[in-house]
Amino acid sequence: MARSADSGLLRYFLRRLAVMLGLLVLVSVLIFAMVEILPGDVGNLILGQYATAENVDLVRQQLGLDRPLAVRYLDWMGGFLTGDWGDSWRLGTPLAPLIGRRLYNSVVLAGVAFAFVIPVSITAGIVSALRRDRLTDRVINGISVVSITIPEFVSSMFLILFFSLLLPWFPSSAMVPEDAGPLTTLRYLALPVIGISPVLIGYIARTVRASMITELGADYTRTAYLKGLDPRTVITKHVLRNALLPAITVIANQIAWLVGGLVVIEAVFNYPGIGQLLLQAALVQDVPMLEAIVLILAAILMLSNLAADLLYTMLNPRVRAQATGGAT
Amino acid sequence: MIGTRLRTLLASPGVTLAVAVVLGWLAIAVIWPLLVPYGPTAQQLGGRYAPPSAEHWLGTDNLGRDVLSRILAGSRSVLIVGLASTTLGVAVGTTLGLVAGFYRGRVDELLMRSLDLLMAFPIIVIASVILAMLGPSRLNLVLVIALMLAPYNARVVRSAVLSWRDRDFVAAARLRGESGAYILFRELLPNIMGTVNVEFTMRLALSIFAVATLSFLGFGIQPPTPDWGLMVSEGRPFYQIAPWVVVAPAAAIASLVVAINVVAQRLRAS
Repeated sequence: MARSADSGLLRYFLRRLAVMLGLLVLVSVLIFAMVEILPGDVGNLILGQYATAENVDLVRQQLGLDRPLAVRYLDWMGGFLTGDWGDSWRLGTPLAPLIGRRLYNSVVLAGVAFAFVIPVSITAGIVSALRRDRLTDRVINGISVVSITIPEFVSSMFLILFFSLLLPWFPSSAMVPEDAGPLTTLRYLALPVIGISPVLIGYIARTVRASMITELGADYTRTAYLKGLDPRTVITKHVLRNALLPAITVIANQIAWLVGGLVVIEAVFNYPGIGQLLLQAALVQDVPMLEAIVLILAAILMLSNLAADLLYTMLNPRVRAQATGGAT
Repeated sequence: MIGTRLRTLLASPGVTLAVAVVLGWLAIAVIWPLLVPYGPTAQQLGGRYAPPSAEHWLGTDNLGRDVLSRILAGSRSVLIVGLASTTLGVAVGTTLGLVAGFYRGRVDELLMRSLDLLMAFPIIVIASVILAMLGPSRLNLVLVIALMLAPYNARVVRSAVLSWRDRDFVAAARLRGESGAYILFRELLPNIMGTVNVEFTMRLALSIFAVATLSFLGFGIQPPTPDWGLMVSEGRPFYQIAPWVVVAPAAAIASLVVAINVVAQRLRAS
């Protein structure tokens, strides 16, 4: 029995992975087409607007831009798969190591942010559901309505003004020194993490609150109370288990928001992550760098959504039975 | 119907205040030339970084420009771009939602899957790439934000349409031989107008969020035009000597987006 359930789950996973890879190819074509078709001439971009026509043509030739679009796409994809992501037009250096380093920095920041956001938002959601319509709930609800609306750069500027200028507790720039230990690193990351989290906390807390309220009103909860279980057991053993499942999907959806937030936060705090790199590449129209970063981000987003779906399926017997064709 | 809506809006003091803030900014955006004490781009190099005083209520910036005048004048660009992109985005999204929800089948499947793909991407990332290639301008900003808003709107409208499409009046219109466009816009749309209105308010808050953020990042309104997002990024390098240059536009953005969102939440709940 267990074995057939596992193989069903594996089949489901492989099917989803295949769909994802197909989508990723589609996305890569879209990214390539979007960047290549939109106006802006490369030769002039690199040489300046007063470059002669011959020199512009020469640069286009050197970059291989005189070849047909399809050939260039295949060349780009082929290089991407073999780890040769091409060179930055502006810096002239290979992209892969640079993007790798920046991506690592962003993953560190995002990791610390999630480690802060998830417990805070889930607790807020649970508390507000348990105290439904009372003062605590109203306060938490009010804070989340406000926090999901204020742009990250606005809240971050206020954070810098209060906790860096007025009270000199934290550095206003997140350029972590090379030799910093974990504690120093955390001190540098504190303000960026708090700056990026309000929107995420707001959304997750509201989802948890809504699903807690649904589960608290469910028949099985009443049965559990009526058979004399202690309220604490009812909540931890019965309600929470079901109520936290939707949170997985919301958290996965928030990863897209987090990536967008990283672009802003890294700009505000001068943090050397992938968001800042994307911004710099966009401002100087460094096409190969833009394409590579967007494709990497797309792959990460799709993978994390897949991972969340898989986790959700494994934890929820009802969905699992459906996905694996009733193999359980 | 507008009367009852207004009454629900004015029922609580917080929501009344929010309505007042939104209307206040709208009024300022229209009549700011009558209100500003100084020209919003007039430089006074002798009076740079002046702290708030009776002469300059919100101080002056690095070029000696009056911050209050720039804040008042800046309300116009954020509201024009915000309203224009929301109108366009909601119009496109509603049309797509109507088509997908009414026709179902393959059209629905294709539309919804493509929108899912678009929604899987962070708005700011797509917007910066497109604006980087198109170049920053007010029109491009409107187009890009509308493109980002439309999928969310289409999804909500589609599910609203689903609960109406099998009603008798739709079947009757079909039997009368009405065209698809007639059924979509004359039969279905009036019934989901309430949803569309709430959607518009919610998307407006998101749109202003995006306008401010993109201007802050350098993809939106360009200097020397007074714009709130841009003012924050221009004030960022010298916030230590002149914090008011950053505080004023940041507070202006916060007041507008929070007020719009409070109104939107209230409309949705009613």
